Amino acid sequence: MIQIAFQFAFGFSLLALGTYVAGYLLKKPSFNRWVFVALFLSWLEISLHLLLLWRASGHAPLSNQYESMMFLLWTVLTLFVLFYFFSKFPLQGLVPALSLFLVLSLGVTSFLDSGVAPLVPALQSNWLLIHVITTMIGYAALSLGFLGGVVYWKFRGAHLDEFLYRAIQVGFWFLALGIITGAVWANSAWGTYWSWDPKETWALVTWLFYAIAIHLRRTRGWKNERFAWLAIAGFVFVVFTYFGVNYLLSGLHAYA
Amino acid sequence: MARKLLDQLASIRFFFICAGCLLLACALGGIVPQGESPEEYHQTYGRTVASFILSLGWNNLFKSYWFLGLLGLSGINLLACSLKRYKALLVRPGVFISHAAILLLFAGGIIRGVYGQKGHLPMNVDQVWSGYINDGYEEISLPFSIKLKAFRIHYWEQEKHILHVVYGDSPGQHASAELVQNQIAEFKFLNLKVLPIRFYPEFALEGKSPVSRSEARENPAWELSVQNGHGSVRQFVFSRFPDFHGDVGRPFRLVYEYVPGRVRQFESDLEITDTQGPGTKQTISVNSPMSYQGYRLYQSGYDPKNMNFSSIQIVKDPSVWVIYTGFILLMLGLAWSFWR
Repeated sequence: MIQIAFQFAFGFSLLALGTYVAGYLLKKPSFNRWVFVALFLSWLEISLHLLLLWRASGHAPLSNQYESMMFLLWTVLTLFVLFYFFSKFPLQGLVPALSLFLVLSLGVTSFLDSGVAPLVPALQSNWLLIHVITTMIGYAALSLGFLGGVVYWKFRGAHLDEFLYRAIQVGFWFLALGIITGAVWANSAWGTYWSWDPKETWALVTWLFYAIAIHLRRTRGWKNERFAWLAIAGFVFVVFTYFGVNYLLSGLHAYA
Repeated sequence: MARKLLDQLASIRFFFICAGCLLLACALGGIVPQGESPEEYHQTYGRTVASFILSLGWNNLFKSYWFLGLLGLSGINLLACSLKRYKALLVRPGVFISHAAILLLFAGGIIRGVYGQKGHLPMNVDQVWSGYINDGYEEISLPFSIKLKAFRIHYWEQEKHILHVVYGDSPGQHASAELVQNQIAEFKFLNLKVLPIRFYPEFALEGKSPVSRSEARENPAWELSVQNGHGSVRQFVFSRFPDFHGDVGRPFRLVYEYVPGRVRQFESDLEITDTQGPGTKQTISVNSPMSYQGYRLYQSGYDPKNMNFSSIQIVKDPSVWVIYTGFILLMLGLAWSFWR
């Protein structure tokens, strides 16, 4: 049942992408509403998948790379919906990029170990929920910023530039909160806020990059194309911090 | 002159230089493993690159003077920027609060570095310590004494010892039973009875006698009494060497599989005796430390070879509230700064 929910999520994401491509080739903009429906169904299946994982493991599904990746994708879709309905930004242009992002990400996730395991002692803390959720919201918002940066080259405009900036502000704030909650947790578990563990260090590198990007925008007027480039470049740091560190470097976050 | 220097130190250009250098330094320190022995760098990178890393101090980058200097310059930049633009407090309080928060974090780091205490207590059950060992391997005395009363490990699943009797080469031609000391495992279709006599967690030979060197499951083995139609024999089975005996002319092979337990939690019962105070007793575990007179005691590790041993970390950190205030102000300042 858990795997069926995953397969349906993947299938609906593919359907969303396929429907968009069909609408584009056949010049039928009315297909777009079905793209939204397929994305919504994919979101529902990811939600169901997470709930089933939670029930099977007895703990929140945030304890390994597979579970956090599923939660990240759920958050990306949720944040997109929030931006779409509760902000002034017209985000239709983001939909195909989001569908492709979802298909590729679910494809990568299918290669990760989805086995359910009991929590190791270090992860048995309420801080696990707070730390992972805040960090994943940060990554999700920065991912939306990246997608906005990519589609900026096709749908230029002040609204998209504003969206980019807002997504990166949200991501930057939540990434800061994720780093801080990690530091508070480390202090309560090991008596030290900061160990210069590779994951911590790269999270700081990512945060510093976006701090520089925000300062460049505010003080040097790097908007539009330049800021779109910064949003794209910043995502390289996000991906390395989230994925690269786990596979290329060792440290305290070996289970993440 | 002083005005010009302040302008330079407070400039946004200086911020970009400091932040960019900090980013590059952190990226470098995040890639090059920190604090390893020279031999490990030689093995990983080869002699030439390793010598380069060691000579530039990249193996302890975050403790190097140039990195600490870079942090110091970044702090000076923030301080100068905040002093110069103090009028911005009224116009853009969020920015000002964020910058002040980062300065507080720097201050917290300095307080911790200067006044903080940190060390560990390698304790055995019933052992009493009146001090701890710091990072420089010096023993620092404490105003109270600590006794380890007991140490326990809890498991999600206990370890298992499975004996497989393999009687053919095809898949499925085997039967299994769990080994429990002095409980006969019976395989009727082979007229086979197996009596587990003794478990050796780390099997070794001392002369001709089998012994276990420790309780660590380094070389798990069982001594068995195997009875079939031809009589009874004693034999050892080893999980790490399943084919140790080879083919001994029987129609079956015995294969021992050791399945380690999954550790749920490990905890220590501590008793603090204090001639100046009330003392206390408490159980600590990972994520649940105890506090006494400004010191915090953390469960940090154990030794699988010695179940009476517990590693305790002890910390006294007067910077906690400075750091936590910095954290709260940073989040408030950023939210204020971004909110529209």
